[in-house]
Amino acid sequence: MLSRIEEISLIARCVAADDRRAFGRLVEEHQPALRRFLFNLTGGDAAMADDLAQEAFIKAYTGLRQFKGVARFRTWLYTIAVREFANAMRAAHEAECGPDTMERVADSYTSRAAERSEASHDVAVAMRALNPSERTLVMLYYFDDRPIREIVKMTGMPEGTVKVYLQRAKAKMARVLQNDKQ
Amino acid sequence: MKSTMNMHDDTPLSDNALRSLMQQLPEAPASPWFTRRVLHRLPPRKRRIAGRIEVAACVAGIIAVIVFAVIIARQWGAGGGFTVGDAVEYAALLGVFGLLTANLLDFYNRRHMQRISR
Repeated sequence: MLSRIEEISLIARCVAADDRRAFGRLVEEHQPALRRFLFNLTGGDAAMADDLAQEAFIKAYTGLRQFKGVARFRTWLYTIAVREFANAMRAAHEAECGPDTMERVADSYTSRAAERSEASHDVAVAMRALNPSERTLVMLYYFDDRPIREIVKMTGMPEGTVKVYLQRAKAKMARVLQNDKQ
Repeated sequence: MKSTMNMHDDTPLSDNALRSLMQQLPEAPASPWFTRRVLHRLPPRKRRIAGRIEVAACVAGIIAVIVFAVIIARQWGAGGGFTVGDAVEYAALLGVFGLLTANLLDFYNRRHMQRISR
């Protein structure tokens, strides 16, 4: 894992000298976690997760001069990724993505989760019960372990809304998990 | 410090239980070419003025060294005899020539590596 100093040095090389190798190192460092995060956020759509992750990295690179370095690069990258996901969901909603495609993706997601463990399958099924906003918040709060304050900044949602959505999402997941056990 | 959320609901699932359950979520399928694809999709590099200046300075330095070497060789031909001073001047010129050439080669090598990584 990169230290804060190494990370700042790589970012400085990208900004000052347009150093692609330095950026490649940042991508290598963050892509596994970001792709996993997006894979689960998209409900198992690997192609969409990869597209969103690529887009997030490209936007991060082109906007690197605006990165103030107050937060970690990871937080900034995830903020871009979460916004990209919200835009993609809006576009998909407008284009009315076919139920067949969604079903196929969902099936492959749960079967992939089942390969890992029974608990993984159960939580993947519970995640499917959530809408995109709830899924985003659950992923940020429970999966990525981010504080509410940071989630508010990342998503642009009011704190009260974040808490209400999380509570609702948790209740939905608990219901699904309980039904699954019975 | 991580802010805590007071979940005053009646769900039997605790925050910690859900957190550990979430860690069971599957990994994304492996994508060995992901970094390469990202680097390939980056906007084209702007031609750097600093790079051009670096190359121009190296080339000018190499030309100057060659001119000096020719001048010294002529003087030495006209004056007759190769002195210790000539040897020292040639050694110094050879050193400068080596440094400038190495710098130029390093510049092109870096550029080549950046092209490959894209």
